[in-house]
Amino acid sequence: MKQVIDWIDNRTGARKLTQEALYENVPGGARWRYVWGSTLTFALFIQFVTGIFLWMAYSPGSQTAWASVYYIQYEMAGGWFLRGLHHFTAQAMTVLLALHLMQVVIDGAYKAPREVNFWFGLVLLLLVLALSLTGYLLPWDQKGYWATKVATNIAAITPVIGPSLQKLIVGGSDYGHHTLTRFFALHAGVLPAMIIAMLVGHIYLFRKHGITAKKPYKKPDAAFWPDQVLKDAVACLAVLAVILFFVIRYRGAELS
Amino acid sequence: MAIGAVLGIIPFAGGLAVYFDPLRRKSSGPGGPIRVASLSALPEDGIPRKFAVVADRVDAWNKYPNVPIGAIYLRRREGKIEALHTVCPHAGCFIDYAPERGSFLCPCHNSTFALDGSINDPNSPSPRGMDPLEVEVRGNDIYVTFQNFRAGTHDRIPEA
Repeated sequence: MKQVIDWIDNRTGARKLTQEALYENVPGGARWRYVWGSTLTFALFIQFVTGIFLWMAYSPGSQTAWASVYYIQYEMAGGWFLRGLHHFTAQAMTVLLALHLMQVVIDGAYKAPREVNFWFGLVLLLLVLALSLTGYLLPWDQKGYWATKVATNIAAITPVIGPSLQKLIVGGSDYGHHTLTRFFALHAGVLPAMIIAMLVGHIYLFRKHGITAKKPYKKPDAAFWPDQVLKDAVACLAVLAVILFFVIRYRGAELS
Repeated sequence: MAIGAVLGIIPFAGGLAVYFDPLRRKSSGPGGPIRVASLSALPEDGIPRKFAVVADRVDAWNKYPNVPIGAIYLRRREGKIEALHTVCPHAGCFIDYAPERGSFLCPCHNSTFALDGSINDPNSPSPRGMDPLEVEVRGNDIYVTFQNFRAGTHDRIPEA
């Protein structure tokens, strides 16, 4: 086994990379309050996986969208569960990002030299909300359709560019084929790509400056692995448990 | 650098041209009067009744003949017929007629309107009353010139 790893390490430098990734020093010890960023990344992972599998069954056309979602929900094995996970994890992400933002503000982790990272975080916030907005329309059901109509009507009140902005978002004067195609391109293409790019930047900047640990330190320094990773993993488990509770209790997401 | 700029810009330019296409297209506008109901379907009791507006609809690559493109409330009283658009001028939901209140009520954000469409509550979130539409009676048929208006504005602006 060691020979195989040596071979790979010789070709890729994997050992050093893993060292750097895992043995980050956490001044003041691992803390529960640091877990929220990791839970957000975990939630994003769930969304990518469930999203891609849903993508394999969803049809983004105004004549076929609702029926394809109905089929997933009621006719495909585990479809209700897959879709329920996607829906409730989206809800969970909104709560988690509020908690993450609160921790950053309370611990002053936005202060110099971490300002740019904070801005990256704000952009990530907007991207997550944009994903929620675009995703909501895709089943083309009553709730999604009307909620998006209200949202684009609000966009239309923007001075000067409002009505044109609405036309671009909606893909015309009326809701129709192009609304769905535009929203889907954003939801499955543009926004996920942007979120990955910003997340990579966010993690890079965070590792560059290190964690902002509030003084006085409660405990001696610890390493990311295994101490903080354990807390992160337990927190992710708890988040998953909550999501699963809702998915099973409500038998998946509603389709109106 | 210049070559890089050209390489980068041309694909985007092609994409953006298509992306901005909706701005080139005009909405069909009011169009002509559409037959909505017969006079006999509308009793002279001043109670609003909802009627679907049926016309041809073009959606990108599809043309749908004779589909509902919206709905209106018709009310007939003392020989006059009024037509009000069902879409709430606040944010775009469908307004309900609430007979127990004797007024219109929008379920989304609780805008209320009197039976003639005007705002009847100073706390109502809607920036203006319900949008009236032109009514024409030809023989036994009621014709309405249907058009949409922008939501969220104080002034009544037809959607272009």
